[in-house]
Amino acid sequence: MIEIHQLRRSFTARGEVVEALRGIDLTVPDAKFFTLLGPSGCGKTTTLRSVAGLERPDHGEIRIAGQTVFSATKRTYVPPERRNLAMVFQSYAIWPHMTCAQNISFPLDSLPRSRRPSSAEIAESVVRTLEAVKLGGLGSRPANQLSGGQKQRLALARALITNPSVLLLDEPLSNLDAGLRDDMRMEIRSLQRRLKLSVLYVTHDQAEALSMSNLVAVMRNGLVEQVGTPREIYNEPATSFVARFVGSINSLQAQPVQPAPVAEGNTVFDTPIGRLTAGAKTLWDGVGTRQIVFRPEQVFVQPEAHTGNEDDSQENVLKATIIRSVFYGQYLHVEVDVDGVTLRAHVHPSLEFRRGDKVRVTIPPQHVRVLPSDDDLEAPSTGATLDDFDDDIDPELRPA
Amino acid sequence: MSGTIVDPGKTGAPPEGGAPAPLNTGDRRARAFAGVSLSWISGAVLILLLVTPLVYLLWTSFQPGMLESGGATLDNYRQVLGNNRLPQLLINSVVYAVGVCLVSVSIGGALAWVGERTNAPLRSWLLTIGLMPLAIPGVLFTLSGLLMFTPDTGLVNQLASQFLPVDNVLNIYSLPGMILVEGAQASPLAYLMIAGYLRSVDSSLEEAARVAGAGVRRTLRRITAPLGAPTLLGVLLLVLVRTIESFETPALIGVPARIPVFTSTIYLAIKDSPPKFGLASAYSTILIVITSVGVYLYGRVLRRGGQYATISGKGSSNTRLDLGRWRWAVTGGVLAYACVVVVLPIAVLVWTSLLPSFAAPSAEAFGKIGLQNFTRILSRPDFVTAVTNTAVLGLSSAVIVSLIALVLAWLTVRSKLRGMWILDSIASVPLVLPGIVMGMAFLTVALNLPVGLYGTMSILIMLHVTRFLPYGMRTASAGLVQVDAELEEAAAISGAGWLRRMWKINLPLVLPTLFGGFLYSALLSVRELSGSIMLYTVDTRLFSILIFDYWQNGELGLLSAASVMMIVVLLAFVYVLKRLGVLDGGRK
Ligand SMILES: Nc1ncnc2c1ncn2[C@@H]1O[C@H](COP(=O)(O)OP(=O)(O)OP(=O)(O)O)[C@@H](O)[C@H]1O
Ligand SMILES: [Mg+2]
Repeated sequence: MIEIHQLRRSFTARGEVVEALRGIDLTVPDAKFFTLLGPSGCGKTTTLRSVAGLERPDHGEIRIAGQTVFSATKRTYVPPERRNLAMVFQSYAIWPHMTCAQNISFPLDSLPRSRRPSSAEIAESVVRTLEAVKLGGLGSRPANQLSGGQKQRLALARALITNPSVLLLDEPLSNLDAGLRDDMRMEIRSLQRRLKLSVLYVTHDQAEALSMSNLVAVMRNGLVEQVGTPREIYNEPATSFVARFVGSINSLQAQPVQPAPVAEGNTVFDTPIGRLTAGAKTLWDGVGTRQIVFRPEQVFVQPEAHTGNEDDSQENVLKATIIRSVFYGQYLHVEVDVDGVTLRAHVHPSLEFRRGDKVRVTIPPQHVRVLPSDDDLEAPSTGATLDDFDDDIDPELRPA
Repeated sequence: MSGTIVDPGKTGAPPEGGAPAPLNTGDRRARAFAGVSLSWISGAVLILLLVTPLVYLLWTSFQPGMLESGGATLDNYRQVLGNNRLPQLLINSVVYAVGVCLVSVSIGGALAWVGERTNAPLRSWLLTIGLMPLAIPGVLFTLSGLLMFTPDTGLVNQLASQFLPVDNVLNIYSLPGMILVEGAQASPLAYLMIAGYLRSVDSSLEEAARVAGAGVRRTLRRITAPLGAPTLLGVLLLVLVRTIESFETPALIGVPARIPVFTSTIYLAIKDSPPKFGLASAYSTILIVITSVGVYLYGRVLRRGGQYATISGKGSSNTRLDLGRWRWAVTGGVLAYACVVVVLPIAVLVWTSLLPSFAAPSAEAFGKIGLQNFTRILSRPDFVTAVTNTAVLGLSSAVIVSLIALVLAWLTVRSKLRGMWILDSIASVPLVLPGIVMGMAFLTVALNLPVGLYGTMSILIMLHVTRFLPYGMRTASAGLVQVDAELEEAAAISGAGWLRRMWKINLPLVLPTLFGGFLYSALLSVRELSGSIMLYTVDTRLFSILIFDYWQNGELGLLSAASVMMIVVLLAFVYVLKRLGVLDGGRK
């Protein structure tokens, strides 16, 4: 278990103060895979390095397995070599002047004499570990002659050889090509399960975060924006930042209709494309302007003809015109125009549309979320903002 | 669970109950050792080595003459500033220093680029050629210059006047003469630093530019040069300061030619009888102020250079520019240079050493060739003592310099302690101190501290360690800056304490660079004359001092024989190092 309490850290670079961490609170439960997700510069690495002891925060407290390894008030600071952690660096930090075997055995060789295994045992476990990461037979190879993927495995082997209970990883897959990355994702995940490791994992890749984690913390500007399971993060984003960063969304400025024609806990909003009903658990306290968001894959698009006879009074059904459709194989990406506002939808790939086709768009109320309106959103005059982060998302991750 | 080893291959073998290992928070000793205490120890060492002698020096500059007594006085400074030759002195110094800079950086830079970045044939010899002038101690280099280019009697001047319509190719007793002699001597420093930079910078940065459509020259101008600008500026400043401090050329050429610069003025003041230590100290203090500015700028440049960490854990190998038809022309140029600065001086010394008395090559001279000078010098005890002392001094001071430098570099580059730049600045102070001044400062220490340092090798070792520490520092911190900090951090995470990280990770990784520093300070120590000349006694006479004495006594035969043997030993030393592969920067 890693507990982080009110962690703050600022850097002074060329007279300018950068607040990298502005009060981080996190708990990584035992034997769970916990991911820090966020855009570049949000403080993920700084958080991880603080846990490792490579960075000394200005404020706050860190406990690992119940023991305080850092506390600003108590002036406690346990140096990294005594925290009994393992870490995989983004650059791998493979020591180029050593062989593969020397790289892996280093943590064992560094143990105090009383706890150090005999050299025969070390040699044996080096061989076993090398085989476990599929580098068997490469023990005597100079480490700087390995390929990127091999270095990555070597770094993992080095981290695991001391049987750690906590493993820290900083974007370990970002230097690998896509195929290798998928393999390594699964491998790291199954290692974590098998060895019951508490993993703190840093990435800015949402697919990686969603597919590997038990828990995800989305970070932004040195603060934690939301912590939850991948499903919670994806289906119930707490802020539009989370919604946009994890997956892609349609978002609309919304004004509650007063008195609200409410049906069973639903709220009705005026939006640039007409009245919409939001039914999902909302974070709205009933005051001020909001925005409503929904994901493209939750938008249904049907040819006009099919629904021609039904009346328009049904909830969240809108008339629209196809602007463009792009075939992605797993789904069909459709952009439609509703009253001058562009919406995106991901629909079943068997459907086909042409530019200019008249269609009906259905947005089921249970998939529409209401969020506090966000200053970062682009010009509200267009009525909608579209962000596309999802080109390489796994299809099974996307809720049906 | 301690000591058990995970088997990632076996399924479901979690650490017992997933219980985390206990934090190893004991072992206070090890913790206390790193960081803070280390910085205090280093600070104390630096103060002992450096601040003490400086205090004595400053104190001396306010003292009246040796034999007079009385309180502090400003007389010495009045005398310096009242001297009506002061403007001439300043102009000489500036022209001399700038000229040497230009000569040495052009030579060093060109050699480094050819050796590290082109496919010129025989380039594996470039390091040897680039370092060769270092194997010839400065006194010898200057002396061989004198033997060749003395007006009318110099060997080259004599020979050339038979074929060319000029009387003298070069009158060495002039500013251009001094600049050429000193510039060639300073070029190895420029070569070492620039080559080290070129070797370590990731050439994929250059390749990226080539791929982006930039030609060879554009790449050189837009990528290689800007990336290397801090290095280049640093080299310039270092050579500048080194030249202002140089002693041999100003003393051996400048004094007879009546071209005084600062160092020779100080030397003359001390050579006066009675010695004017106060006046010399005042000159020194002013000189220190001048060179301080250069070193301050150098420090800023280095800090800026630290922005680019160019060696990462991913490693890289460099590709070379194809010179095409120019390959052999370039190599030819390099060889011609080697002839002029290495072969010719050695040839002149060898020639002189074989003759009973100095003469230009002629049928008559050839008839007199013999080994009498060598048999004579080998039987002289002063020669044997001097060689032994020199070897002991060079090796021990270089080892001590490298170790102290690595620790200091770590403190300034890696430890996140505040104020470490102070240590760096203190350790850099010797750069602004001319050797002759430091020698005198240490002399006052040896005479005044009642611990019996006077006339020992220890005081000489202390002097050399202090003098050459900045050079060690430069290479050590340049090396450490280039090593990705994550490599050390990974070792910390792996449980390695400070000593183990230094020994197993940092030292091997900076060794190629650090070894350059080690070699350089060892060779500087062997060549060193200006400081030791103040401290030696009969028992601790050094090789360079012996040569200087022989020159003063006009013993050209003995001088040349001693020089030739010394050069043979040094070249053998360089050769062995090259065979060991250390000179190639540890790369095979
Ligand atoms: N040593 C440092 N000196 C100055 N500023 C720093 C330092 N380390 C981090 N920062 C700043 O702190 C902020 C957070 O950095 P951090 O490395 O934690 O980001 P990150 O989330 O890991 O980003 P990325 O995804 O790009 O790795 C950034 O603005 C960064 O510029
Ligand atoms: Mg990062």
